[in-house]
Amino acid sequence: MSNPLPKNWVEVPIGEIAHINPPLDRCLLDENTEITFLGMSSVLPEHRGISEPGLRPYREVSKGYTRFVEGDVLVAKITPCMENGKVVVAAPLTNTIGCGSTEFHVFRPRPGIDPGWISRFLWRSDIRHLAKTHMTGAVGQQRVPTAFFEDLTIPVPSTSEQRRIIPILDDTLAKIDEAEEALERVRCNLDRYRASVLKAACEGRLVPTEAELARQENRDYEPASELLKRILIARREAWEKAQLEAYAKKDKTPPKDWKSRYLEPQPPDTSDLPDLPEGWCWVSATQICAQVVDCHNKTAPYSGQGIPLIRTTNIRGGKIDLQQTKFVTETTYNHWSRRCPPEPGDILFTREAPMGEAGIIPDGARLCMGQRMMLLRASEGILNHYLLIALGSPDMMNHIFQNSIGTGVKHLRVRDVEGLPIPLPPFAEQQEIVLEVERIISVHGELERFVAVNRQRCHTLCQSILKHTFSGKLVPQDPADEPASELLERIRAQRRELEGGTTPRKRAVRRTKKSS
Amino acid sequence: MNVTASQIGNRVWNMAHVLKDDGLSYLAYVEQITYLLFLKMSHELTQKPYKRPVVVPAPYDWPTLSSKRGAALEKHYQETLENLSQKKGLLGIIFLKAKPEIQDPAKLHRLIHDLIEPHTWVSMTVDVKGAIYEELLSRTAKESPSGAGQYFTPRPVIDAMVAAMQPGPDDTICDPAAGTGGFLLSAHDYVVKHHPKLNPDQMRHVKDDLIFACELVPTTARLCAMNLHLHGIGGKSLPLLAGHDSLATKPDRTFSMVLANPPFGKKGSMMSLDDEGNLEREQQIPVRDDFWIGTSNKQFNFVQHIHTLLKTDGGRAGVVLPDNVLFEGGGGETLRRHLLKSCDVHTLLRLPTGIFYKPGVKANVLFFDKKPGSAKVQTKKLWVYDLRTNLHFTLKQKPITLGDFDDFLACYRPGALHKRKPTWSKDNPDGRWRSYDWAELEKRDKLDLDLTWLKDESIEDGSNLPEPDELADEMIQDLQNALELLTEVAQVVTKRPV
Repeated sequence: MSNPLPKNWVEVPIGEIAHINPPLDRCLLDENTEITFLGMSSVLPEHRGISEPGLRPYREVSKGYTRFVEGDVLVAKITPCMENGKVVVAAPLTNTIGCGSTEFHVFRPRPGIDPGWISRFLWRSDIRHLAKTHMTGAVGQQRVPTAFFEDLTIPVPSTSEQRRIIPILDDTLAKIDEAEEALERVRCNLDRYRASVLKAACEGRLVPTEAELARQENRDYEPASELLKRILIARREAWEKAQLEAYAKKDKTPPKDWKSRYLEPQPPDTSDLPDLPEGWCWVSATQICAQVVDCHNKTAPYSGQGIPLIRTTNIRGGKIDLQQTKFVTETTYNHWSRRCPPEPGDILFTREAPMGEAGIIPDGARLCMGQRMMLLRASEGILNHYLLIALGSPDMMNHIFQNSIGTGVKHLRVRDVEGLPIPLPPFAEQQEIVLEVERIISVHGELERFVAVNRQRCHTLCQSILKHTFSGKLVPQDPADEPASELLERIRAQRRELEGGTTPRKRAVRRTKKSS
Repeated sequence: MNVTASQIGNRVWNMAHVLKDDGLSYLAYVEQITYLLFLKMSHELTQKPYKRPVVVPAPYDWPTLSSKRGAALEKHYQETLENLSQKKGLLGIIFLKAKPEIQDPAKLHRLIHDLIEPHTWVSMTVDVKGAIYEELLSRTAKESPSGAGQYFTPRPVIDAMVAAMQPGPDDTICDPAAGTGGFLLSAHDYVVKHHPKLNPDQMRHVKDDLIFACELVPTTARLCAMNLHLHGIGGKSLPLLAGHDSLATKPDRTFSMVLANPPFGKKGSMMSLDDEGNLEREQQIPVRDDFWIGTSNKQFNFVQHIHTLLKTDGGRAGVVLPDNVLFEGGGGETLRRHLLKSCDVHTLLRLPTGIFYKPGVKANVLFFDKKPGSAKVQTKKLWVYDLRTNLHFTLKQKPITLGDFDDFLACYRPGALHKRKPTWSKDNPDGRWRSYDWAELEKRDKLDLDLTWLKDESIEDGSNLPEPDELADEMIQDLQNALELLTEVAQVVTKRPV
């Protein structure tokens, strides 16, 4: 407590202003009277208050639980409830008496002390950190002893000032809470926003269509259907070239009808698919990918270091995360990747556990494909970033869930992935879509960080306000207030009377410094 | 609104922007306009052809005010407001705790001479000036959702509720949390529109005794008074109790109808000390013998209060309430039990999100009729209309309209509740109108009335995802809300005391 307090405040041990764990009075309630029951779970951390208090007949709770009266302050003593700040004023209580967890200390405020003053002091996390260092007991059963709280000093103003401060403090904390709730809603909406943008992108609503632009600029354009034709021709030619090379290598002449062995990739089933904008057409993944390759169907042996192995857990939110990968040796890599070594720019797409996650292999990366995923290499004329967007869109997610099989874990078969329907725009439009989505996603990323930071700040702000309050800075001083020292004297005098002449234990009382 | 009216409306609103740059909030602007407009209209009424007796005393009337400039104007304006705030009746309500807020007397002069002086407001039809004022209120609410907005129930919700309740010329209608008077205005207009041929007694009743408003906050009461006054309601005495906390005392009269949207907002529950230093409960838990439960929850208390306000034989209510009233346990359960027993709670309308000025609100309308005391439970069947699941509105891009309630009103069958038919069935699980018998309700844990049955299409589905700009709009609103709240917090903290 290094800040100087206002001059008519005092700083005293809590034991002076509250009776901690007073002995129980004889209870005169009828055993069937219902009283409020506060279990530990009914008390929410810090200023969040009481949730769903129970109501029990007195006879059920008269023994084995802590008892308290309305206006007492309940303070959790055991870990982790104490650290979480489970401190609350026990009010309102049905029939003025309550029972609750034995892990509560009961602080009974002395006359002239508002229980809310004490509870709000303990909402301060720095005070609770201090309390934690004084915990005693076996591991897992650590508790803050009564003596710590009795000696802990607390700044105290006059009764009327307490009454002025508390509503303003509560109102301020409530506002911060509301602001935080608003930020939480923003966070949820950011997720929906991202999905909505991807959906709009794949439905031709994010940027002007090429068809529209061509009309406006009075020029021609290449519709996706033409682009597809070009791609399919190129695909066939590439196959034919590779076949001839293979025969030449083996010094064989190709048989007469070798060309007819070519398997034309199947277009998707468009019967259930919605209409696309002008210039777009539906294609299947195999039609527009030079490679659609399944992983090797055996788990690769891990090694301490080497080439990163990508597992389905490493693909999230449209990205491949290289932070926490396992590794494989060079030899393992060569064997596992023999079908088609993954190249930068290739898309890795999960078929299972969970399905539908995709990411692009970054430049310069050498990665090994793990289980339950496939590799998709976009053909010329297809932007891999556009394909990634299409694979991650809400419409695709929907399609995947409807077409997956399996009773336990849902998954896609290889042919399901080959046949995934992709909405394809003209090439120039793909480029515009990719640019716009990347721009929005980067802003989205900024916003996510912003929201997270400010939510954290809300917590910090609450604590800062509490400290501010107990330094006497929240509310202006009223010169008409009596000095707190007089309140303290009255309390001491009353205790002397009640305790029949025994003087209160002398404690170290830090007087406030006169502020300059 | 005809062309002239919207031109005037726009000019009024444009001045609001000008003064906003001077630091005047929209709400404060509306208040100042209210004072000036009232003074002008009071003056017009003393002239031909009305020649009514003078209400505003001479030193503070419109001609005197409009003759001044500069520092003299500023001083005189302040004196005028102070003096009139002490008066009784309508004058007193309009000027209750009135303070001058316009810093620059030149701008005040502009308001007086360019905006208010050129028009004869009294001769404008009720539609025109009433509409201008309503438009002003509605824009103010939009601009400050957590401030002024919380007093403004969206008009489509009000009009739908009134269309369901069908008030008539013999009703007495009360709104104990009147805000800017929207419910009462709409009810009054409905009666006038649907009952063009009334005898003189009925007409007098409709003019003077049909509606009754109660509003706690002086600023809002002021706006309510002006709103009613501009709509031609009430003569010299306005049926409005301003600055009065409805919940504090048991009402001394009952009404045949209550329409209300009690304030949303956190409850306050605090122990405090009386003068002797003894503990006492904060007044926020009203102590009333007509209440079933003692609670600091504002909405619960308004439900209890409204129950008392209703005439025992045939008193009807339509009340906007947040979700927690439907499902909260403890006191909430007790409240619902009592309500369902003593009233026929026949309809629950689940309102969509994105329609209130306060963001994030999830609310419903509960319609119930009070019945005479009986041992039997009065609620036999609760009809629920789900206007929430998979429906999405925003304040600016996709605002809700009265048309969006058409299906609900058709299902509601105003005046013929016994003819209702559900649209939901096993064969039509997407039907939004469905009934639950008392036997079914009674079995529900905590008598929870948070009833939903429609499949909430989640984000994976994507087919009901709002457009990106709608979502962006919502996020902006929430961020503005957060900004407003934190600004208020900052103001508390930076006022450095000694």
